[in-house]
Amino acid sequence: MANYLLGDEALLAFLHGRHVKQPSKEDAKFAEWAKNLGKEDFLFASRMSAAVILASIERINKPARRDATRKEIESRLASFKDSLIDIDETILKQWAVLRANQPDPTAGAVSVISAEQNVELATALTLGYTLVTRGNAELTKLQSDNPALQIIDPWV
Amino acid sequence: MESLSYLFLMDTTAKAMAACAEQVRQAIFAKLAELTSDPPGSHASPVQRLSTHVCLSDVFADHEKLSIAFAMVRDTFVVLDVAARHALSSEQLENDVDTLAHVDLRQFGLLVETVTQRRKMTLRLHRAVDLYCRRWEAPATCTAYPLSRYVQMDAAADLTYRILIAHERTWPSSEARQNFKDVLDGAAHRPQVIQRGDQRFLVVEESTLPAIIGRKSAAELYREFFEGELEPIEPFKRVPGTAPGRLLDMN
Repeated sequence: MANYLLGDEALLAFLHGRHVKQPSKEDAKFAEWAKNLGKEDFLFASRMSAAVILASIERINKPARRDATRKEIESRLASFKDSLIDIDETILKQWAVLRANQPDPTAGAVSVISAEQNVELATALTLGYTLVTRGNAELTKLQSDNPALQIIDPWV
Repeated sequence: MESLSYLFLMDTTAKAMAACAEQVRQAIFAKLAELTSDPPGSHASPVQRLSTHVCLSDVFADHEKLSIAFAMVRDTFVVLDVAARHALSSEQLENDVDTLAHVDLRQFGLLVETVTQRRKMTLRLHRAVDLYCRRWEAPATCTAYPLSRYVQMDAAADLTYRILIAHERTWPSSEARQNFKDVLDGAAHRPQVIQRGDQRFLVVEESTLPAIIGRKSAAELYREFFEGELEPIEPFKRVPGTAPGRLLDMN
């Protein structure tokens, strides 16, 4: 039995399911990972991840496509309604610790970890879930600093 | 152990459960039993050191069916409501309670009356403790029970209390109290298991009950999205670059 916290991209990929236009090799790998999930495994997502998806939809240029996509995504998110995790005080405290130990953008530092992804990371750390997201060097370093942090990248 | 085969509910959770349809209640029981059939070691080990109390309500007449139904599934089922968790998590109250360390729990309900700061928090905790303490007396609702059943319930609650608390003192150390708070915080997201010797106690918060029954497994979600008949939706790609502005491009 494993509990996975889907990051924003993983959540959106799951909501798309097999209906990806021109699926890439990475999409196929993600689908294979999803196929191997068991009935004892559970998927969760932060409400922040759902919000990132909805914000992305709001950026769709064509109004008709935007409205149709929003309606469809919200409908599919209903299947996750009992698995969306609120951002509570415990998670925010964890977020603060993570954020404080990352490069300071006000000092000109550049980070690929956004505030939104930090919420996902803090949620995964707080609950002991495995975060499903694309890996990068910064996340690898973060994992070495936080041995309890578990991350899986199903696209590779 | 038959005498432990009872359901202990705080008032609000008991009412929420009682309002469920019988089929839903059974599904909740089954799901809870499934979730606690193999508790992760990370749950059991820190709380084994706990020496603290859990507030229990009486098993009122309205909820007798629940207790009997659950008795067939698990040993003991402890539910804390939101108010109790928040009260026990109150920093100010924690300080107040620390000054009351090493106090007999059965006197605790009276002693918190002397804590005048943050009155609402205090009252909520008092209510939770009072619900527990009332079990030591014979509430009027229990007169409806056959005497043998009341005695059996009383013995079960007594044994539960002793197993959980180990002795009559509350929070012998800050670490023990912190561990218990961690369990309560965790219960806000999913059921927590407290291990006491051979007995396991399930701590469930009221707000998680709907999620327990409604949550789909990963395999079910896979079938829904990857094998179901869904309309294709717009593809997306990750916007390259650095944070902030890390959104998914669906144009």
